[in-house]
Amino acid sequence: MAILEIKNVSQEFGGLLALDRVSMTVEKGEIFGLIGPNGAGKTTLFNLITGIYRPSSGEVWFQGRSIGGLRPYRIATVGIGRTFQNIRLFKKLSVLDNVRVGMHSVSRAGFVSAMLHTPWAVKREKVTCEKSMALLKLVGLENKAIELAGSLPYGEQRRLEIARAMALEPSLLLLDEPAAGMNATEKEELLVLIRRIREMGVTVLLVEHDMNVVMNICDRIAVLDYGRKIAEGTPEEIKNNPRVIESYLGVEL
Amino acid sequence: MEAFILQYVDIYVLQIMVLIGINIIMALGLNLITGVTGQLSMGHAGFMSIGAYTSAILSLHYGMPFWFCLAAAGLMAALAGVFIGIPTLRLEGDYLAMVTIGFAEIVRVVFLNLDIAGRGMGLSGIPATTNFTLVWGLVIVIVLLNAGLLKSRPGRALYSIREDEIAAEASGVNTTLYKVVAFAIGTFLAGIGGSLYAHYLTYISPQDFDFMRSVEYLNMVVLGGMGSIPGTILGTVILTILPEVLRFVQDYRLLFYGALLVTLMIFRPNGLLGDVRWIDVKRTWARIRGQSLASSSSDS
Ligand SMILES: Nc1ncnc2c1ncn2[C@@H]1O[C@H](COP(=O)(O)OP(=O)(O)O)[C@@H](O)[C@H]1O
Ligand SMILES: [Mg+2]
Repeated sequence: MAILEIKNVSQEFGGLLALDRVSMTVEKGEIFGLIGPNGAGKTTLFNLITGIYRPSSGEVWFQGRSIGGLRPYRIATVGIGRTFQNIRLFKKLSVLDNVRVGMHSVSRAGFVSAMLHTPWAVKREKVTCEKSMALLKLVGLENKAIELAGSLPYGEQRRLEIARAMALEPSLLLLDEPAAGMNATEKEELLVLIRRIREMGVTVLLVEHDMNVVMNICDRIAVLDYGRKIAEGTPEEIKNNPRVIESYLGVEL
Repeated sequence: MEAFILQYVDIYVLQIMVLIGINIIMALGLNLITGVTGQLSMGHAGFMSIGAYTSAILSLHYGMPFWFCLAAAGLMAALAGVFIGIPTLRLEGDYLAMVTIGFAEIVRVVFLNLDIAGRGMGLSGIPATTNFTLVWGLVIVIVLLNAGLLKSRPGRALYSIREDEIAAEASGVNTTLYKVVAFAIGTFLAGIGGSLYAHYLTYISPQDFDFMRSVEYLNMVVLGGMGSIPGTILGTVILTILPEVLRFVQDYRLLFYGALLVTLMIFRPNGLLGDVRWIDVKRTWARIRGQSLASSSSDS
């Protein structure tokens, strides 16, 4: 069953066609890879799916409903979490608070109950805290809960972004180059983490340059080049696709 | 209460204590907008004047009881806040700064030309209903509510907007709504502060609420530490007392504020208490105690 359908989507930036009639379907439960050279339009596609841009043309469907044109917070609320290629953490908030903000749409306490410290709000707060700690444990940051997010090393910041995105209990998780800047050990841990996330029932759409990571965990892969989809298939098929080798993978694979 | 305090300090000091309380209410409002949510408002005095005039007019011309005037002052200021906040806060970028400067100036000119507001003469003979007990009672209530807000779900959402608006939206925060609500609460507090001010001095005029006053409130928040309640209170106390202590530099106040802020930006760019967290204080304290325990045990 399809969880995300991108139908003939184009995105133009003042004459530049960043995405050119791209279509793809992500199935529920899979890890779907999106690769392509720098400037191919991968991040732009993420921004389209999450409502930061409105597509110049085409449609985006999520779980059977059109989400094109919804505000980003609405799209997050219906169940699409994401991380950013250029890490966007709440730097001066604690690690725990970053995840707790991620739980915003899951918990409901409002202004009045918060100000008055009603027993209900206090209880919600406790639940939020426990769930957030569980997510920090998932990404291995449970001992850093009270540190400021901005003080974490790079690899941990990327993992914290994943925990924050998981906090909104998404059914689809978009990861934009999660392995960027990680060393070999961290990449290994990341592979384990992404597999665990899939086991939790979350579908993953992954943009990544590290071919080891991509070929290892993706069920299917789509390749973008100059805003166009030039190939789609299993890792084996992509590795052996002459067009992909020519435009992206080069000779070493 | 007043009589009790006057046993220890003279009337002049009591007056400053009341003004500190009023300024804390004002500055906490601005802190919510600018310090916590990161939306630069430079017209806080404009909302204060709406509160002050609403309250003064209702009690002078319509004989309304003070409690009614106080509530109406807060609501009118918040209404004005929502009115200019909704179109402005939806836009990206710092339009709010420009719009609030312009708005406060318009408000000032309107009161300057309004008969019912006494034109340039202002209004005098406003019932003196504000006193120490009322002001500091309100300060305590407002600090408690504010603290409850900031350490819960909506408060964290406000901080997240300051930190990164795009990431806040991606986390499910309706940033426009939250910015408008923060602005409404902040301007409500400015209206309350204005009402208390009018009923304390018993005389108000448009000059009381000029651009310089807005800048002073901004200075209090920035000096103390953006987004921190203890910081804002500290900044307010310092900047309310300093001009009194330094009466001889009155003419150079602008210069003085400028120099103070530049010095601060160099030595404490996040304000006096802006980056001090209670949890770090506790950790440091635990470390110091741990060390002294360790050294005393190694001595023996
Ligand atoms: N907001 C924008 N305004 C103008 N051009 C943009 C914008 N965002 C992306 N682009 C352009 O769109 C193209 C695709 O960029 P991007 O999606 O970031 O590529 P990728 O993530 O695949 O490296 C690039 O040429 C980039 O310069
Ligand atoms: Mg990119």
